[in-house]
Amino acid sequence: MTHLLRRRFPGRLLALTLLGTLISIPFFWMISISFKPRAEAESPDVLPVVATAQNYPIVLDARPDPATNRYLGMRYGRWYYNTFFIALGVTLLQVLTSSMAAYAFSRIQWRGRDQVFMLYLATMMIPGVVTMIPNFQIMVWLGFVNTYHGLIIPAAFSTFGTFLLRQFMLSIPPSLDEAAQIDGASHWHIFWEIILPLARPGLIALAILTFIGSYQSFFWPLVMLNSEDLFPISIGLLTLDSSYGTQTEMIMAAATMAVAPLIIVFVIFQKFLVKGLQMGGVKG
Amino acid sequence: MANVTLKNVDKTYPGGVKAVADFNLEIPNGEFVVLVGPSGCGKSTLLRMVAGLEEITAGTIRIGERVVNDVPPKDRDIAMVFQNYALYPHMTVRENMAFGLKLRKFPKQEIESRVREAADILGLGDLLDRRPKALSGGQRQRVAVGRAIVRKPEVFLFDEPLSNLDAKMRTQMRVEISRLHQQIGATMIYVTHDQIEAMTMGERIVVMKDGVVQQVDSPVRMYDRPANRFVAGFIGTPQMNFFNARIRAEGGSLVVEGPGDSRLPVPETQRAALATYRDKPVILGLRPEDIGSAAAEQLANAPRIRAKVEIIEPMGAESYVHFNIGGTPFISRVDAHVTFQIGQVAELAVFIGKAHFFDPQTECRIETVSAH
Ligand SMILES: Nc1ncnc2c1ncn2[C@@H]1O[C@H](COP(=O)(O)OP(=O)(O)OP(=O)(O)O)[C@@H](O)[C@H]1O
Ligand SMILES: [Mg+2]
Repeated sequence: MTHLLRRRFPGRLLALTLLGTLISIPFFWMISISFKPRAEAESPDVLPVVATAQNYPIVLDARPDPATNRYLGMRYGRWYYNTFFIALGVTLLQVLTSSMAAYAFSRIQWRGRDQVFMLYLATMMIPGVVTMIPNFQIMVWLGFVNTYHGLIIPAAFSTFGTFLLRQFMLSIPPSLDEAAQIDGASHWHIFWEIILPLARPGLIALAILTFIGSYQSFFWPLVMLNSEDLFPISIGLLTLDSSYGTQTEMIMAAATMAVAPLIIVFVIFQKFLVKGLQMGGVKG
Repeated sequence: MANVTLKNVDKTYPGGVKAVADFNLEIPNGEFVVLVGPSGCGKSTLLRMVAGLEEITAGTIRIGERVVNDVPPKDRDIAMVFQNYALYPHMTVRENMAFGLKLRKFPKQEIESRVREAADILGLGDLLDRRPKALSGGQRQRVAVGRAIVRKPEVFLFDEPLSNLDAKMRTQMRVEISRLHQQIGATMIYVTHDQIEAMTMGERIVVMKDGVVQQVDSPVRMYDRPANRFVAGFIGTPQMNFFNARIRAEGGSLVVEGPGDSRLPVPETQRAALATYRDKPVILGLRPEDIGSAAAEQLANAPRIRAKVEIIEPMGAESYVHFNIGGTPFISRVDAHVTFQIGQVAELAVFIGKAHFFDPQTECRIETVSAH
């Protein structure tokens, strides 16, 4: 693949490298500043002159801030827990509901199926902010405000996920379902034992995308939560912003801690992500 | 005991395509029936209706004594082998074959012994732990057959199972499937568009065209007495030669005028039927082996026609010689040792006793009823 790319578009490779570097600059700068001592924090040097790791124990609340001699009171343990709990819940449910919907939209024949699907797909064109307030009102009405499930349930259904998996499932030959049907399989069996295993690359890709999306989500939890015990990292970081707005190196250390798990997840799974999005399909 | 009975079966697809019209067939228990016809004639549709994968628009299908119109595929006691094999790619050969039995909650040992048995019959013993991806086309085909036989169904359905194989493999699998039929004796319905498969495998052949049955008969009778011009042309390679001709009365008996300027006596057995066609056109059908072949040449007093040699295709033991008579091309199957020159005008003996006659309007066979 990269070979082909290089031979056919040498210019494109250059452009991608440039773009990649450009995107990474703020990221590396964040990490660089997080290792700077207070004195250097506002200096324009790219790398710290005297690198120090002491900002990390401070934001992780293991040591007081030497400037004020106070603990920052950041609760990373709790935030990680909340973030992972919500993200895993959303991912699990969304992959499940999307795959079931995709099955119905791709493997079962019913009247008006494709029209309904187009209609469903059209909802992707409505911007999220438009539905934010009505959604919130529904949450109020359901009593979901300031709860975990208020964050998990609305995110458990996804048009994009359904679309992605439907495309994937359409590439699986229908004769497999028919063979299974003759073998005595119900829709339930066909779904679990034939289609899901064959759609695995698609499921993994969707799971990764959903996990990342949920991990990063900010606005909805901000609207929904007021109890600090439920804060995910994205909201937790806000506490730093108000009280420590001027201590750049602390903010950067805190931000690095916030994205680190995500980077790890991404690095481990990106191989699957690429495979899934390429839609290899199934060969008999 | 499972005979399969189809009565007045119709299929119209949503959108209005009439795929099968008024199909009637009674398949006795244990018979090997081949459905054959050109692409799009409704063979697969019919098979899928028997399987229960496609709803029938009208009519009745019985398997055994039971009307199965509304019975789901899994309860019809059938197994089907698909053209593209339809093996489960994520399962091993063993799991592929065991899947149906597992779903039916067979005990483990029973499953294992049935899979073993099928693997032995089909020579799959060493491949049981492979995935379909790691198998050749012929091996996949065998696994697909294996998946069908482990269930020991009453009826086997095959939808062009050999069309993805190369010629040699196809010949081999043809024999294997025939042998399998003798071994297990179940009812088998086999769909193909290849008339050679139909002739060699079928105990009975059903020829279809545009969703309508043209003829149901044993291979030999189908070959000897095709019911209409379509069947006559479809069964047999090279196909039957057709000539426009006319029936004339001459000296108290009938002759066929044409092809070209030839005049051939009407065989005795056909006289009664052809009498009504006096001075009317008919279609004369002659198989390639009935013109200029060794058998025809050896007949005493065989009538002869004169035709020009156009192309010679040597096949080894025999040659297909393309002739032209009065603008109508035809093929003759002659002994390879008889030499013709291209452009030469040859005199060919005609085995007129084996001639077929068809009505030019209805294209139906014209025949004196009784003989057979
Ligand atoms: N799902 C469908 N919807 C509408 N029309 C269909 C459908 N399946 C088949 N047909 C039409 O019905 C007719 C018969 O199709 P069928 O597949 O039974 O033919 P076949 O004899 O099996 O041909 P082949 O030898 O090419 O497999 C064709 O005209 C086909 O276009
Ligand atoms: Mg077909």
